[in-house]
Formats: sequence, structure tokens, C-alpha cells
Amino acid sequence: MSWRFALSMARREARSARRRLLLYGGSMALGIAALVALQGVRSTVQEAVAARSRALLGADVRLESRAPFTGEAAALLAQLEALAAEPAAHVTRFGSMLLAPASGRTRLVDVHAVDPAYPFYGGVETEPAEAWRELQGEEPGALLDPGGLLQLDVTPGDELVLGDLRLRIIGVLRRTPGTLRLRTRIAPRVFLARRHVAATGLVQRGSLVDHYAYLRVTPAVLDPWLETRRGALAAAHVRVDTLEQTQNDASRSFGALTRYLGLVGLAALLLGGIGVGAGVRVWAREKLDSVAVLRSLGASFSDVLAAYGLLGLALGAAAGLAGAVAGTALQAALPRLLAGLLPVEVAFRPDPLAIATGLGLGLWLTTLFVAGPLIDLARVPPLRVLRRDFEAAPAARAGSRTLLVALAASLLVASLWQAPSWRAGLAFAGGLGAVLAALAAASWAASAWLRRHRPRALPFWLRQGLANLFRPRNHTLATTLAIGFGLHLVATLHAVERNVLAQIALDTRPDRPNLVLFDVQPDQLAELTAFLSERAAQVLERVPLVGARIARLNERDVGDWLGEGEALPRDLRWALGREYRLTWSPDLRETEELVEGAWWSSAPRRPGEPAAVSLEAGLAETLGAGLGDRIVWDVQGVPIASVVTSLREVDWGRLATNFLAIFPPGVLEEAPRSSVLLLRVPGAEARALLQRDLVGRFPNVSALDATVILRALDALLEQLRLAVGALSLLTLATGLLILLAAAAAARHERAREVLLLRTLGASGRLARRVVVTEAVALAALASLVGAATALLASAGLVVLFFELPYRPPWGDIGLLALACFGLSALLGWWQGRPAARGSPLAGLRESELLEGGGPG
Amino acid sequence: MIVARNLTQRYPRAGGGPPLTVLEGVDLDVAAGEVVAVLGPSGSGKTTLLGLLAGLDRASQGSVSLDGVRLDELDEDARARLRAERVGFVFQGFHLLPTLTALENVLVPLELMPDARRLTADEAEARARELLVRVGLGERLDHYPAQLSGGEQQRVAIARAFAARPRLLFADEPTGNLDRVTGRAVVELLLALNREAGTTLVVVTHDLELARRAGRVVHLDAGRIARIEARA
Repeated sequence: MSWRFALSMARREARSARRRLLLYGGSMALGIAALVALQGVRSTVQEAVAARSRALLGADVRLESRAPFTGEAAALLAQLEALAAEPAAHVTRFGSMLLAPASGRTRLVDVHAVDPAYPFYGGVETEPAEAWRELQGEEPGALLDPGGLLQLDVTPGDELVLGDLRLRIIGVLRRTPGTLRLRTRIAPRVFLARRHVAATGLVQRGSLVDHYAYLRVTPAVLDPWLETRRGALAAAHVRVDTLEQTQNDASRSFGALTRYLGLVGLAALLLGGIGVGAGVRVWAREKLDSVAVLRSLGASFSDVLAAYGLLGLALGAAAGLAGAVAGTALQAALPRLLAGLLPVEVAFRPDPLAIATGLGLGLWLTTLFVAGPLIDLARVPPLRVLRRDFEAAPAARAGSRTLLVALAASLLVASLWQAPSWRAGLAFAGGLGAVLAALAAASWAASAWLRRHRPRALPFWLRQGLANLFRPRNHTLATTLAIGFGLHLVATLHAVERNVLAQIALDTRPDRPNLVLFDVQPDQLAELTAFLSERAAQVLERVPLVGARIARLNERDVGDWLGEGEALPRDLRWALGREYRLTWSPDLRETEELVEGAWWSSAPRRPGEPAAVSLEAGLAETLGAGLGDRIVWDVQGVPIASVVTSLREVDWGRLATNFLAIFPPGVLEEAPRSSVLLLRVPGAEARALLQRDLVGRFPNVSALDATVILRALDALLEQLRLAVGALSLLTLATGLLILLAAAAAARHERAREVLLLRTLGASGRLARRVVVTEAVALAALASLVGAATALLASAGLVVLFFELPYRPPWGDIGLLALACFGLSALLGWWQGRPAARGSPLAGLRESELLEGGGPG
Repeated sequence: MIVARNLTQRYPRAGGGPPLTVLEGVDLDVAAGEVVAVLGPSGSGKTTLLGLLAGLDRASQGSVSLDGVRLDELDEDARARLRAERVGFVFQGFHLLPTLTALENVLVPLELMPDARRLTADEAEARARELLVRVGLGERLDHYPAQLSGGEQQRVAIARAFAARPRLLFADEPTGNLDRVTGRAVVELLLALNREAGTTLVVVTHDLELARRAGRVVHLDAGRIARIEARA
């Protein structure tokens, strides 16, 4: 093999095809850029989380309990404290209303009452810097999030009222351990010294309070202790947060988000690959004669393959390089775009692994997509120089099959690498394969149908245009795949986004509640009801709440079960260890739907018989519980036996009181309970006034304004929309590049045909009509199939993956399909334009020049 | 130089049935330095014979030896190597590579020469330039085929054919796409270069004037040699 020849030829061909190569490379580079950027930002976040996990937690380990550390919980804490470097730092945390007398404003806040030793790591940044130290001074002081200051319309120095305690604002919180940004948007944080918490009068029996103990214990001491105490901790309802968990929790959701977004990038890359494959196939077809000449002059199969393979590799390397550079630049911008979704602040650092992956993917995928056409090209027999109609023997089936298998395997590996779970990876790769198969099948069926039912009665241009869909050297498969898959991706992404975000958006109809009061004690109900009716607040719903945990499920003791620790699936651990808010109700609620079993009748329960309980279907699945299974609930020390009699689907997107477990009336009434009230208070000012007065009269009752949740969610969703929108745009850009590349490729071929038709006497208009008809028919086929597969795929994703109801966005998908169709048709018109103008002879000569590509 | 024995070429018919015999039982010997013209009506098997003699195709039956090498015993790559080393072509349709300039087109066979004979890049370019100057295109080195007339393109093709100094040259209707005057000029050039290089030339043609300039004329009819006419 002659490398000099291969290099010279590759250079010469690159020179003449640079515009097309730019289009092909560009379409690959966009997908690579997305993958590089997302992988880069994910790895820098992981590194930042790993480096700062102690600072995120504020300690080596944290024990958490809903009740003060007494009894067994206190004994366990004492054991651990004995192993620790210093005594535990305690933090008491609860939600409460905070009143700013100066502005008259009130706000639900997240109160953190902290010991002086907290946090052990990471520190707290405040403004002024000494405010954190001053917090532990004699005078009760408070530190607020900047958002809290704004919402309460106060400044440092102003006075605040928290329950029975008056305290002065001594500064603003800038950075603290922890990562919960959404929560701080809904309820800003207020820090105060823990020794002042009793004076608020808000921490009483039945209040929703979290008690934390932060400890400094080396892992060597902590791990064996934890290993032997898991059961005891679970039995004492003490949750343990370790550095590893903090690290996982902090990076899990962001990691999953970037991985899902990465799948879109991967799909865009696949689209680019298909476009490159389709484009290179047309280009290779144009090169048949040239390669036949080379073969006749003595170039071997490997000489030709080396020359054109080098070109393919250069294309892949250039696409990979451009993608890596663009992706790294995008990585620098992503943290700003996703600011609210990032668990920690990250500094920009190019990620060598992401860059190498981008380069590798560019090279590998390009090689796979162009290998088929280039191998076919290199196999052109030299005899073609004498007999132009002499075609190569059909490509060896085994070779094509190997390439297809390699491509499918690569797609699968890339999907598994990118997806957050192997199931998601498999489903993604399978779904893409199915869509491509559907597009190919539709293209084949359309060609076959037209071949069999040739529309003889149609005008010449229409017949010729349609016949181009099945004639030799047609573009039907390549165009349907490229355009159809592009539309499919954009439309699927849009339809899923629309459906999912529509579910997350809260219900704001005028008859819906807009203020929620919780922690209402039984003895306050009568007085509070009167207070509310005086202020024209409409009580839409009043729901009793009883705190409980699961003690046994059938024969299994939950404490023992939880002792298995990390061996249990995360969801199951959560379901077994959490505290439930139970309620009772005679009827199914508006936001619920019975999916299994029967709702209870009004017949009273016989003595000794377990109580009926209805579980939310998702919880039942997590617990592995079904109808007839027995659950013993620990209702604040009192065991209550129950049997599952029904399962419900719950619409969690609605602002309503939704429950994982519901009892019939007559079971929980005697248990200590609080109530939640859902109110409708017209007007923002009336709501603000009511909240202010409420704090004065009922300091323990918290109020949450629905518009605050809406605003916080909206800000977060906006970022998600931006991220998804950016990827949609990228996919759209890839699709457009593919469309252009496909049109450019077809243009060369069609130009000659148009000129020949003109030479035979067809007018320029007629000749162009033939080309436009073909482009329009292809665009219609691709748009139709792309839109149909998008509807199916988005319905599947929304229903099966997100488990949400699906409403097909007919209008949007129709518009997208129409835009895609219009654009493709316009490009068809452009394809025929130059050849339909001027003299056919000049045109033929120009088309030679175009093919030669030299001076152009 | 060329020894063909019992050359037969059959192609399967598209709709089935007995294969189509395009060439049957052709025996032909061509000596080194000889100029042989192959004449015959359309469909007589001229181009098929040329393809088989040049190793562009495999015969259904019979054998061809080029310079003592049996072509039927070589695979496609080995035949390609043999062509690169010893064979040149001139085609009716010129078959220049449209994306390459005139100079680059002439360079291609030099780049494909086997390692032992390969020239340095500078030497190759010098030879290509020299040949293009020799065929009267010294001023058109950087022109693309589409920027050249038919006669000019054929002259580039002739320069390309002689670039690697082949021992054998096959020409398929070299004047078929040219007007009479240009055709004459191209023939003169082809024969002059052939004389200078001492190449064996096999030319398939309809052009009786060109045939008259050959040492022997092989008349083909219906796939068989009708007669061989020796000249001067």
C-alpha cells in the first residue's frame, strides 16, 4: 500500500469537499459538544462534592431524630460521643412563622437553632464576618438568608418575633453547610443560638421538630460502630447521615439530571452520525468513476480504502476536536445556566477524560458510520472505466452485518455509559433502535408502494418526482432516516417537556387553596376557625394528621429489617425508616384514584379486627406490599394493626393534602394529632395580613403561601427548561445541518438530471418541479413518520417512565412537522434552482465544475 | 509481451437462460514494442478483449500473460500492483479525476508506483510537469479537468498514461470523443510518445486512420477474431 498516494489523495479530496465535510463534521461536533460539556460539569461537581463532603455535612457523621435524644437514642448518642474527638454539636430545626414588626410582614422560615460548636467543618460565612460568633452572645440574635431579608423587608438591626422570643437581626448568611436550595427559596433559613430555642415556646410535644447531633469521629472508629448498631439505631428511630451518604445525596440528583440530558446529547450525536453516513454514501456514489480510474491505474483496494479512510478519520478527528473545544467552552457556561440545580459551587476546569471521550467518540462513530460507504467505494471494480454500468458485486453480507452489529453495540455501550441506570440505558438504546427501524420500514414501504402503484395518470413532473423515490440511486432511506430522526428527537423532547412540566406546575385555578396552615393543635381548632371566618378566609379542607412509623410488615420487624443497612434498596430504606403522616377519611379524595381493592364501607370495625388501610400504589410497590398484607404502625408508642385493603394512585402535582396511607374513621381519632387547613384567601394583601395576625395569636401554627411555592418552583423549572431548551436547540441545529448536508448531497446528483431533462426539451420550471416534487414527497414522508414516532415515544416516556398521564401536544408537533416539511421543501426548491436557470449547456459545464469542485 | 490463449468471456443474462457469450476462443500474441489496433463493429467484443488483456476483468475461460505473468493466477490487488508497475491507459471518456488538477492527475500513477521504483515527491512532480509540457499543457498545470477542452483533457490523460513509464499501454477509442482535427493531433502525440518510450501499444478503435498506423490490425466480429492484418 502506498501511504504517499493515500495521504495525497485524502488531502486533494478534502480540498474539493471541504464545504460538505464542514457540514458533516459540524453535525457530529454538536452532539459531542453536549456530551463533553455535561460529562465535564458532572465530574467537576463530583470532585467538588467529594472534596467538600465534610463541609457539606458539617461533621463526620450526623444523627437525626424526630424526637429529642432520650432513652435508647440518647444512650446510642452517648456511646458515639465517647468515641468522638469532642462532644456532639446539637442543632434543633423546625419550620415556623417569623414576624417582622417593623414591616408587619410574616414568613414561614426554616429555623436552625445551633450549638456554638456547630459546624465542625466547612464553617459558616456571614456578613458581617463576626456575626456567626456574635450569634452565641447573651442577647438573642438571628442570621437570615438574603432572600429572607428581602421577603420580610428588614435589614440587619431590625427586630424579629419567633414564637414568644424577640430577637435582633445581626447579619446575613452567605454560606452554610448543606445544599437544599429549593427549600431555602420556599422557606428562608433563620439561625439562632440553640440555648434561646426554649424561649420561643415552639418546641413542644407534637411539634414537627428535627433534632440533629453532629459528631467528629474518624471513619476507622465510626464504621465498625455503625456496622453493629444499625438495628439499634433503626429501632430508636435515629437516622444516620455519613459523609458517603452526603456525598451520594449531593451528587445523585444532579448526576442523574446531567445523565438524562446526556442521553439527549447522545441521540443528537447519533443523528449527526446518521447524517454523516447518509451524506458520505451520496458523496461516495459521486466518486465511483474516479475510484474506478484509480483502480485501473493500479490503486489496490487498500490504497483506495486508506485514502478515503484517512479522509473519514480526519473528519471524525476534526468533529471530535471541534466538539471537545465547543463542549469545554459550554462546560464553562453550564454552571451559570444550571446554577440552582448545582449541589455545590464549582470552578471551571477542563476535564481531560471528557475531552478524550469526545475525541474518541467522534473518531469511533464517524468510522462506523462512514466505513460502509467507503468500503463499498474501495470495492469498485476497475472495469467500470470501460463499462460505466458495471457495478460492484453486492457488498459482502457478513461485512455489512458486522458493521451494523458494531454500530448497535457501540450505541448500547454509549447509552449504558451515559444513562443513570442500566435499565434506562437499555431502554434508551432499544427505543432508538426501534425508531430507526420504524423510519427505515416506512421508507421501504413508501418506495415499494409507489413502485407497485405507479401513478400513470398524474402529470409528467409529478410522476417523475415521485418515481425518484424508488429509482436506483434514490435518497429515500437516507433522507427519511436523517430528517425523520431529527424531527423525532426534537418533537419527542418537546412533547415530554410539555407533559412533565404541565404536571409539575401547580394548580392555580380560583377555587383552589392558596394558603396552607399546619401544626394546628386540636385545642386551637375552634378558636382558629372563628379567627379565620372573621377574616373572610374560606376553609376548603381540614385534615387531621397523626405521626406514625411502620413497626412490622407482615412477619418482619422493621427495626431488624433496617439493620441490614446499605444492603437494602434506597427506596425501601426510606419507606421503612421514615415518619408517616397518617389521616383518616370516609371517602376517596379528588386527587386520588382507586387502582386495586375496595374502599371501606361505613360498617364499624369489629373489636380485635385489624384496621383497614389504603396505601399509595408507589409506596406499596416500594414496600413490596399488596392487598391483604398486614402492617403494624407505631403511632407515637401505641401499636395499631392494619391490613391493606386498597391501593390508590395520587396526583401529587396538585396543591392538596395527599397521603401515603389513609385509615377509615374510627381508628386514629384518639391518637395525638395536629391538623392541616387548606384555605382560600383572595388577594395577596389579605393573605399577608392574615399571616401577620396569625403569628400573634397562634405562634405555633405555620402558614405557607402557595404563591411562594409557585415562585420557587418556577425559578427552578425555568432553569430546567433552559437546560432542556438548550439541548433541544442543539438537536435542532444538528437536524438543520443534516438537512442542509442531505440537500447539498442531493443537489449535485439532481442538478445533472435537471440539466438532462432541460436538454431534452423540458422547461426550467418543469425540470425544477420534478426535483421539488421529490423533495416534498421525501419531506412529507420523513415529517409524518418522525412526528408519529415522536408521539409514540413521548407517550411511552411520559406514561411508563415518568408515570404521568399523557396529553399529546398535537398542535406543537404538527407545527414542528410542518416547519420541518416546509424547510425540506424549500431546500428541494433550492436543489433544482441553479440547474433550472440559464442555458443547459452552461449548466452542464457548471455541474462538471461543481463535481470537480476545483475552482469553487 | 502479451500472450492470450482461448480467451472466452460469458455474462449471465438478467432474466436467466444461457449466458451471453461476448468473446470466444481468442488467441493473440503481442510482441514487445509492437503497436496493435483492434477493429470491429459495436458489440464485437473489442472493449471486453481490452479489459481482459489489461487485467481489468477476469475471463470466464482461457488465460492472459502480461510480460510473462499469468493474470488469471493473480488476485485483484496483485493485478492492481501489476498495472501500477507496467500498464498505462488512455480512455475514450478521458477519465481524469475531476477533483484533481492536470498536474495532480499525472502525479497519481507516480504515487502508485511500487516502493522500489517510486520517485521522490520532487522527482515525480518534475516528471509530471515535463510530460505536461511535452503534450503542450505547460501553462495549464493547475487547471481542473472541467476547465479544459476535450482535446486538452485527452492530452492530460496521455501524459498520465506515460507518467510511470509503463511497458504496456492500452487505449480504448482514444479519439472517440474528439473532432477529427483534434483526434489527429492526439493520435500523433500518442504514437510519438509511444515511439520515444518504446511501449507496447494495444489500441481499440473505430478510427481506420489510427488503425492504419498500427503494425497489426486485429479484426473482431461477434466475439471472435475474424482476421489479423499485418502492416509494414
